[in-house]
Amino acid sequence: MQTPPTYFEKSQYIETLNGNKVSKSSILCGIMNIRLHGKTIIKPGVIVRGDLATVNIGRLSIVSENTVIRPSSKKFKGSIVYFPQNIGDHVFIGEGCVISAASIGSQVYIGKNCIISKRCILKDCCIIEDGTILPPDTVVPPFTYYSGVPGVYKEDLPDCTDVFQKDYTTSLYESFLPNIPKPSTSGSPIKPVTIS
Amino acid sequence: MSTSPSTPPTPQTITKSLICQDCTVSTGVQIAIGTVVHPKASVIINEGAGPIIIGENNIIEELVQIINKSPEPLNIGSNNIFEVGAYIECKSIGSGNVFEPKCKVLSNTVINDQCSIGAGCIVSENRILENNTVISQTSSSQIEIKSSIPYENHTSIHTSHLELLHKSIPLFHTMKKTQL
Repeated sequence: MQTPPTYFEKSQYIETLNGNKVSKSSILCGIMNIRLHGKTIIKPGVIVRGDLATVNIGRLSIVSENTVIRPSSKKFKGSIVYFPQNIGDHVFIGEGCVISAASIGSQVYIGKNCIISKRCILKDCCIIEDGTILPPDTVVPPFTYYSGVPGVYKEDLPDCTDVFQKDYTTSLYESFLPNIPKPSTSGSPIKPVTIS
Repeated sequence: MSTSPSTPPTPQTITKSLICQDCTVSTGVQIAIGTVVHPKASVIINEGAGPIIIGENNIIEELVQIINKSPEPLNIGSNNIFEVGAYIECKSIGSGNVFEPKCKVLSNTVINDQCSIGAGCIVSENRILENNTVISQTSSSQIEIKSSIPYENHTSIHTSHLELLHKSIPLFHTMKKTQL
C-alpha cells in the first residue's frame, strides 16, 4: 500500500537520532518520562503527560493532531496512583482523541475523535472506529473491530490485519518527508511517481 | 453554593491554587484555594461579559474551555472535576460534579450539585439539572437517570487525587504567580 507523500516544514519538527519526528508545537510534559522507541511521528498540538507517569511509545507509531495522551489513575491502598502507559509498535492514533488507556498493543488503529477512557486495555491488532467512546476498564481482544457510543464489539478482523497495519504505518512514516525544494534529486526510497 | 473567594483556608495540607503557566486565564477570573488548572486549559471571559468565580478544590484538565458570554457572573462551586476537552458555557455550576471528557454544556444551563455528565454528551440550552442527575450518551439517544453512585466514586478519590497533583505538578511545570 502506498500513501501519497505529505511534506512538513523542516524548521517545525525535531528529528532525533533514532528517526523520531516530533513537532515543536506539541506539548510534552515531563520529557524525561516519555520514551519514544524510534521512527515515531508526533504531530502539532499533541499533549503527552509524562509528568503524571511514564509513557512508552513503540516504533513506527503515528500520533495525529490535537490528541491527548495521559496516563490513567486508579485507587490503590487508599490513595490514588497514576500508572505507566505503554503503547506498542505500528499504532496509528487519529486526530482529536483522548487516550487514557493502561496499555495499547501493537498494530492498533484508532480513528478520529475517539475517547479511550481510563484503564482500558487494547490488545494487539484491533481497530477502533472514528468517534468511538470506550467506557472505563474495557478490554478489547485481538483481531476485533469496535465502534459506537459506548464502544462495542462489531466484527472479527482477518488474519492479515497485522501485516496490513505494519505496511500502513511504515508507508505513512516513509512518505512523511521534509519540505525540501527539489525532492526528485534526493535519494529518498519513495518517489512520487504519479505526479505529471 | 458558597463561592466567596475570601473564605479562610481550612486546616489541610493544600494552601494554594496551582495554575500552570501554559494555560489561558482571562483577567477577572477568581480562583479559590486548592484548585488545580492543568496546562492548555482555558478560562475565558468574552468582552463585556461578567466574571467567572471558581470555588475551592476543583480540577480543570487539559483543553477544557470554560467560557462566560453572558453579562451575569458564572459561579462554579467546589470539588468539581472537569476532564479533558470539556466545554462549559453555562450559567452556574454547583459542587461535586463530574464532567467527563469532551462533554459540552451549552449556554443558560444551571447545574446543581453532584451531577455527572458522561463522555461526549451535549447538554442543551436552558436546562436545569437537579441534584444527582446522571446523563450519558448512546449512539442514538441520551439517557438521564438519578443516581448518586458516580458522586460517591468521585468523592472517594477526589481529595487524594488533589493531594497527588499538588505534590507532583509543581515539579514539572512553572506556575502562574497568584496573590496568595
